[in-house]
Amino acid sequence: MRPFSRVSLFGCSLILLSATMASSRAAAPDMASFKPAPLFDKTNLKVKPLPNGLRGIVRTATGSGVVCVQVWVKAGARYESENNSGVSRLLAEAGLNGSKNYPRRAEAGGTLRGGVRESLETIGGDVKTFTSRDATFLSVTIAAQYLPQALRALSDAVLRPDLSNESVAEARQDVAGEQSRRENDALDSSLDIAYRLAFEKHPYRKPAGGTAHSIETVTAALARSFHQTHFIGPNISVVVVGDAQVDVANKLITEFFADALTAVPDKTNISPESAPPPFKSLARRFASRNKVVTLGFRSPGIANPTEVVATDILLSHWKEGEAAQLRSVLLGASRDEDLDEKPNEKDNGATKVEAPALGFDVDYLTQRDPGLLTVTLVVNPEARSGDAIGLVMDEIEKVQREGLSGEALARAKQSLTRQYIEQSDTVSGQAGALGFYDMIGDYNFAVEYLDRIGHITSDDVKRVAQKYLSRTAYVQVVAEPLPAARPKIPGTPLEGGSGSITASIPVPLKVPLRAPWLKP
Amino acid sequence: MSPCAHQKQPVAKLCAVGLGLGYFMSLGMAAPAANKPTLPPKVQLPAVKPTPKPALPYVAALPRPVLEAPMVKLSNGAVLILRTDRLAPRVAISLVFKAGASDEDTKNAGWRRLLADAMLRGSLGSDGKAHESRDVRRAAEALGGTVGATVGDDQIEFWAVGNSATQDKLLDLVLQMALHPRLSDADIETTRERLLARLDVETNDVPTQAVNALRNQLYRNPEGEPVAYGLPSNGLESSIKSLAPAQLRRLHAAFFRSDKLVAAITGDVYGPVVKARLEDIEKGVEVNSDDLPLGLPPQIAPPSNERPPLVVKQYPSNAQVPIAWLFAGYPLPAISSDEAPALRVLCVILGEMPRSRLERRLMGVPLIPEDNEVMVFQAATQWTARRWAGELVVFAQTRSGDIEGAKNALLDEVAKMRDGAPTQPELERAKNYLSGAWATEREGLRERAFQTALAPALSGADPKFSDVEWTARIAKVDAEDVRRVAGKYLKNYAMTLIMPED
Repeated sequence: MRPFSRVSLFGCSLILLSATMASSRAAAPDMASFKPAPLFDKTNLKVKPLPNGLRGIVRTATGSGVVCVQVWVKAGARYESENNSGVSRLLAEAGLNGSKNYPRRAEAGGTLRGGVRESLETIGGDVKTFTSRDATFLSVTIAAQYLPQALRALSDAVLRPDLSNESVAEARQDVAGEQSRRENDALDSSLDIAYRLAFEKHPYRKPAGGTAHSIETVTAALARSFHQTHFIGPNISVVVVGDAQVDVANKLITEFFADALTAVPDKTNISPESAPPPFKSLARRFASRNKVVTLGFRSPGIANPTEVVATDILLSHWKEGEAAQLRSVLLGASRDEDLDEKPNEKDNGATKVEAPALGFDVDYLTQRDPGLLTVTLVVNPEARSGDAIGLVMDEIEKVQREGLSGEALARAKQSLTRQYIEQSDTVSGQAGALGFYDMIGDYNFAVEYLDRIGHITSDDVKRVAQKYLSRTAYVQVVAEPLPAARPKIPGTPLEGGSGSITASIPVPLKVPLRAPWLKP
Repeated sequence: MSPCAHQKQPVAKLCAVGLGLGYFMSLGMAAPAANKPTLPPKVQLPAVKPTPKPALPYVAALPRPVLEAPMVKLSNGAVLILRTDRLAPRVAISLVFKAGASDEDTKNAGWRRLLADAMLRGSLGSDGKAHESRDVRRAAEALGGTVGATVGDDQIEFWAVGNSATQDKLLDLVLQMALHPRLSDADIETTRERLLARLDVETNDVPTQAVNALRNQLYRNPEGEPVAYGLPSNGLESSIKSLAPAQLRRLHAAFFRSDKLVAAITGDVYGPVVKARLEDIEKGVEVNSDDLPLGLPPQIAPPSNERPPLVVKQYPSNAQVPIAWLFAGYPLPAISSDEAPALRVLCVILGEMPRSRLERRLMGVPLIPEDNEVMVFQAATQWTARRWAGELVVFAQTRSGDIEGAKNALLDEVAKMRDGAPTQPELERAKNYLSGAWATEREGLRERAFQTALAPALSGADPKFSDVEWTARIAKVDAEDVRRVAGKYLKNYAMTLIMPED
């Protein structure tokens, strides 16, 4: 019996069990009269554009005692050039470090104090920033009574960051260090390389936060110039979600963001690269234990919403939940572990069967333009990665041929729905969804997402698999571990010491220039 | 566009004029006259400074929202608290059973961990059929969520998060896990093997050893034997090996009863259904057995300052600078004490909030004036509240050669807390930080449910101990309260050091 059938049967038995219990309780209340809260309740969601083009998006829900404020800016790799790659990430960091009304100052001993981040953390705020290829956001989750302080501080960080030479140098150091760590991580770096291979000209070929090298070349003048042209009203959405009143939140947004520049945003035409690349492969060595193989396929952009949701459902089918299809294919079908166990840890004296992969991930980030769907396989360095890749290709072919069965589609939809609701059950989760989609399209996509899931058919899934998941046009990145006797790497910190940084050496491996499973 | 463009227009013009004239004047030249009237020579131009943009107006905080968390004691003795919000169609359920470290002794230490882990291996449905842990996980998935269990110093918790539309079934599922575990001999033996393997790993884990060592010194009875929180949380090899399956089943029957249960449900809650479900739990029967704990509060004697610090040796590392850690633990009263809020504020002032006293004193500046290198890399406090007793841990990370200086500085700052009340701005900063951090820590439904259930489980089912009342209690703390509790509690301490092997 297939795993899903077991779930269904057990689900039925649970329902029967509940029914039996209910019948023994005379007139016990049941769920019939309960109406679940809508995920993005439109009656409590208001959008207010300011005269300068900035959009305030406010979603209220009382009871949590907490609010999240996120300021999203259309600034990221998509809007950067090779000359200023990473500047968006750097501006966010500089803004949180210090701004006009939250200056940074040196105290005795030279320690730098002050700044927006410290100001918000002093009142218990949880401050975050992140840069994707399409946007940058600054976020704080904070006690509801401090909403004014949150909006005041973040407006200053975004509109009036300290972009002096000293401040930019400090931010550059932080961001370059972060990017350097990313470049030395086999998983993260493989994804960046996959994007680089998959796009010829489109700015998505650059890493979202730039490279350690590109960050080092961003001068204060470049940063100021980019800030002037991109951190402007029409490019900004301010999202407030949580225990707040709509009119109060809107008044505060207006008060603190009214002087954002009203300049016309840069309309440079960025042509999407919809055509998938012909097969390309690149290999590198990393200081990692296992081999990591990343496959990158072209994926739909937000302009094709049905394709976007169908792709999300396909992802869910492959990787979400206990009965995920690729889980059984790649990690082995039979597992009987505790709740806290990790896959592939089972070895209780029974015959251990080597699974084709030690771990896997399938990722697809919806972006403004067509991007990448990536399949990452972690395999034993001694094993043939071709086996795991072949299994993935077989699964792709199966979906291209048959679509999803009724059961599989229902399960994938259920998993995706659960995942989406789970991601949105906090104020920061909802603010993130609203801001994210507003940057690449329209916040309404977040509101309508669950409805869209309901409308996807097996044919929709089949179509996206056929259109995007080509066996001949995709990129492959192989991250091999360094040989056992690791060579001394000049400039590398002491191996094994705390905070040591692993090094990446671009050593080309002898890999076939075409995928081995391609039929002649 | 120029870098000055976002300044208001008049300011930009003034800047341009000022820069232009200044440049020529600095070269000892007059400004070019071409096509422009020259300034009269006697006019003295004021030094041009950038006109500051008006500072953003300061704004007051909004009134703190009133949070409702009605608490009800059910007829079977269970306590139920509901915290409703309609942000998303989700609920979190936390079932906290009062089974704590004070219910363990050296003979059976770790029974709670062993029992909880074994309970997760399978449960029995009302039809008597066993459901494997995997089936339970999949059932939770079908209800849009996940389930699990945690073991803390004073409780064992079973929890679930899932869709609000099926919260009745989700509650049934987690109740089934907690009240009707399979607990077969095989479940218990498998769990025992794994727990013993984990203990092996712990003996090599320096932070775990350090925490265990500090607690072991702080919580001893008048005879000097470790009790309650002084016992290792995962037990001892001897105690884990000696726990018989039948004894564990009796412990389950004794502690997983409705009158030991505090349940909290947060999110999109439908009160009538969850209340009816919980009221249906049978109270259970009293279990009497010689091998069961008596349920008495532990007798704890304060540590002696004369006792030398306990040193945990770290394995040799390749670190260029030998690093050492210093932990000083001060025993505190139970969380239900009226002094708990003042102690919480004290902890924040001393070492928890940004720019705390320890941070300002120890970090970023050399302790020894002629030594230009930063001496302390981290210095902070940690407050642990519990049902019977808590502790304030003051700690620092430093170069091993500087450990004595760091210790003296830490103890000096503690003495200052005893000797004088905090300033009013310092007190207000601490209270603002606490009320903000309280809300942020409860952003997630799961954490909110757990904290909501834990508060009355530790302090008692009195509305004044409700989790949502905590910030109001903090707001009432004044500077004199802080000085008084510092003088009362920051006296006896136990100390642990983590030092490099060499």
